[in-house]
Amino acid sequence: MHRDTGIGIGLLALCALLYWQAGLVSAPPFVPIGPAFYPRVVLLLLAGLALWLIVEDLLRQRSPAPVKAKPTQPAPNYRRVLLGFIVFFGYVAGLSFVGYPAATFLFVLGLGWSIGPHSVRELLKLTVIAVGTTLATYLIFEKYLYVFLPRGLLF
Amino acid sequence: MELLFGTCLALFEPKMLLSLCAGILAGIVGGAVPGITITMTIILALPFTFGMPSLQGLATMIGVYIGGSAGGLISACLFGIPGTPSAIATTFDGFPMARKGQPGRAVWLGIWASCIGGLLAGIPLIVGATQLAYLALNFGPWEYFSLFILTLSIVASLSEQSLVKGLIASAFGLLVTSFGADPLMAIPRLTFGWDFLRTGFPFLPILIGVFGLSQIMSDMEKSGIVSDGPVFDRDVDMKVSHLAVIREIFAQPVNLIRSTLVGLWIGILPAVGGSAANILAYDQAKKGSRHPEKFGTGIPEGIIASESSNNANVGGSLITMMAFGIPGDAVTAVMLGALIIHGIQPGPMFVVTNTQIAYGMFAAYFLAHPLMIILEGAFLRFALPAVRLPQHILAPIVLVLCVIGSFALNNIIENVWTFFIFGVLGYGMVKTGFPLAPLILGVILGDMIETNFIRAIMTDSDWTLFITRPWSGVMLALAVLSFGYSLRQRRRAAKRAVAAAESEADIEF
Repeated sequence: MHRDTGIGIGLLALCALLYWQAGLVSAPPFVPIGPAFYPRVVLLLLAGLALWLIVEDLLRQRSPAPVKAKPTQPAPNYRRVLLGFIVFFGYVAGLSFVGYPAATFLFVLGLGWSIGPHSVRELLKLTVIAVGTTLATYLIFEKYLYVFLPRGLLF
Repeated sequence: MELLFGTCLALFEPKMLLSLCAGILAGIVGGAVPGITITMTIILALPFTFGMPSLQGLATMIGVYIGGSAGGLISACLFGIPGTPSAIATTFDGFPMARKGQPGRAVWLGIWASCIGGLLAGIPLIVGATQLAYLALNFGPWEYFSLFILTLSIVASLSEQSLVKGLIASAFGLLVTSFGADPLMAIPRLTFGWDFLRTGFPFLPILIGVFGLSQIMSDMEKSGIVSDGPVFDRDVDMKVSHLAVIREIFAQPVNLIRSTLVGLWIGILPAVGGSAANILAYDQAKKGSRHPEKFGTGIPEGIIASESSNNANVGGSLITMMAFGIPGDAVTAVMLGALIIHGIQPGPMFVVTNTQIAYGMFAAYFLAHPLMIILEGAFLRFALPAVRLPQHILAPIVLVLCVIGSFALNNIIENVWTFFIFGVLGYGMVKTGFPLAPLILGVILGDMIETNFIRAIMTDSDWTLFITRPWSGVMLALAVLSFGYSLRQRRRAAKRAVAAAESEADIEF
């Protein structure tokens, strides 16, 4: 199955789920249009567009494939992106458990190390940056701007 | 005029002036660092403005916007890498001029052209925003609904890749605002029993995720450091005669005014932005020149066209934002969010009921330009090597500030999860060719579209009023025209591509 067709089918499924969910809202009897009316209009519009996407994709598959130009840039490094998302997910999850200072220190160090060069000098540099970022943001936001950052087990 | 001077004086208070300067400096640094856009810089500046009074916070953001629009030219001229998309065309002539041994002339031509273009656009900003806001006061729900639909249709039509993907992104943005309490009766819907969703998805974490996280992850795909390029020589001579540079700019009045007008117009169009303005202005300057063949070899015309247009674009974006509450680009979208955080409702009533703040914004806009010249001069002397930060150091720091920006909105961790989820969605959209701007515009306009749509139907059940009321009818007709025009353009482009492929195949045969 082609990518856009898959996205279109996924959108249709989402529309169906949300259309059903919108029907569960109890509408007050004294108003002509209930709160489910607008979401349902948007969902019908989105479903129509998803069908258009699928049809356009199927028609494109039928027509002769255009001549592909040779890539001029190196292939994207998706491993780094995946690592980035995993480390960032860990950071967001860790904020509520260990608190902002510890989670931020580990995140800056961890992400910098996982996507950067590996050497003792780099590790030392990253440690200094992690401590500096944690301290600077903590002091500026907590002590000066009174923005209370997430608390956890360690702080 | 008195009000403008009065608020100008208020901006000279040390706290205000310091915030404005800090904003400009942050904008210059953010603009100069390749990989950090103005949108990203303003997102990072956002949490710092939460605790400030409204005008101080908005002045800081205007500073970031103006500083960032001019900051991108530094790396464009010296390294050949545009610091921001709005400085792409500056690279075409700025970098060759710097390589010819005139880096100071290239950079200062850009800085002064930015300043003059921005100041020229300030006049239509004051007149246009005020007059358009008064015009919009006569609008009923039908006209507002049609205006927002026109805005969405323009943005979706301007999507580069596919019209249907632009429309899907817009509709998805509208769907996102359907979660939570409906705007008229506050009855929760589509919550799946989750308390957090009873108030709907918060706008700013969505914006930060869609633009911030997806941008960082897209940069991470590139294995090397962000700011690869020719090594900057610390001892490079940036000295120039400022008078000669200004004279050189004013020697081309047609180029200057045309590029300023192009920037202003692109700014007024919703969600197009400086990236289109500088390229279009450069293209127009080339077409209108007596020696178009010299463009790209390091001539001042190209730098002046690109830089005057991208700062004039700021004025245009602010007109749409202040008059209608519609963002001219992603940066003004963040500013709209900041207005709401400070308890100010954007829309035509903003200029009328918050005159002090509106005129304060005008004054900050004017004041920021000369300050930008001074601060950019200082930046060139002391902080230029800082723009070459490697990505593995830059990315974690930027993400930490994004997390704080999302969390600080109302101190709940769910906002950070919203940021993460929409960041993943934004990255997925980039990779599958869905444009981000229509999604964000849908999220911004969603509540207003629903409110005006329902209000119009509840006031009078006659659907034809959307077409028969003059302003509403004209705007809907324009929406259909924009849609039809875009469809026709794409069909013609597709036919041309097929014809080109066939002729290529014939040659090979």
